[in-house]
Amino acid sequence: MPGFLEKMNRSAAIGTILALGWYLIRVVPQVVTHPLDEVSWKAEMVIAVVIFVVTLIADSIRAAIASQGQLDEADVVDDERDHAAERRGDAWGGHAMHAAAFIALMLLVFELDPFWAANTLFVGAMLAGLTSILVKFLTYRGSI
Amino acid sequence: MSFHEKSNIAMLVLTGGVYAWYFASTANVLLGGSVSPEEALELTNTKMLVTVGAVIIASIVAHIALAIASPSEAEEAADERDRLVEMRGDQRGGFVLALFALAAMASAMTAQPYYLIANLVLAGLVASELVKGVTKLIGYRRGV
Repeated sequence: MPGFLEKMNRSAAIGTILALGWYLIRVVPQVVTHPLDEVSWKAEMVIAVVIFVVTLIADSIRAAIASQGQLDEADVVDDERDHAAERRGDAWGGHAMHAAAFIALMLLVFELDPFWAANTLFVGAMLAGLTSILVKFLTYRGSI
Repeated sequence: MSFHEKSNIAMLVLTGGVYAWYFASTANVLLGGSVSPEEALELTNTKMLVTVGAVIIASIVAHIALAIASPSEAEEAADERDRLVEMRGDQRGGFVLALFALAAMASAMTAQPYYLIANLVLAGLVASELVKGVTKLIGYRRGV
């Protein structure tokens, strides 16, 4: 049976997928059909972050209510396995974020529109989050 | 002191030294606005590329020197402690980079000049490397 933090990890995955999906559905078609300075992306980015936060909070509350008995029984929220999963997941997420930041830096150095750097950082951060979540999930399952 | 610990100290000193020089020598451009945004971008781009190249070359030379000084240590594979220290460093470095990435995205959203956004991303990459190095140093000295 998954522990509370594993369920929180699932909440973060749902939030990230919904936020990133919504953002890409809204912005990518505009990039294809409109000139770059007419693409609306700033409000969409803020709304995507709100979607992520609201989903994370709502699903975490749901998981906390569902796991209440389990938390009372264990008397602890996280254990050594949680620490290991957290550390490994965040380390891999950090590597992905580094790659995204380096690409964004090169786009700025070569003077491409800041739209591309901002979107590389945003999509990169979301993908880094998903990488972190996937590595945590695999660590919980004992696959790595 | 293990090879991995020495390698970490070498990278910390190199990154800290090279980028302390970079930010000190470009501070008047970045903060003072003494030149036009186009000139600032050209100036910081050149220095940025030079510092990246300098860090890569210096780190190769430093690692060769460390390996020559103690060849048996250099051949040792990373053990469980090295991996834990590494992961904790990557984890904390990733958090720092994410904060700077957020600031860079906000700068792009508010249409700040290219060179400011690029230098925010670079500052994030450098700060995350320094935090990672210091975390690893503490991890090696005090345990994880």
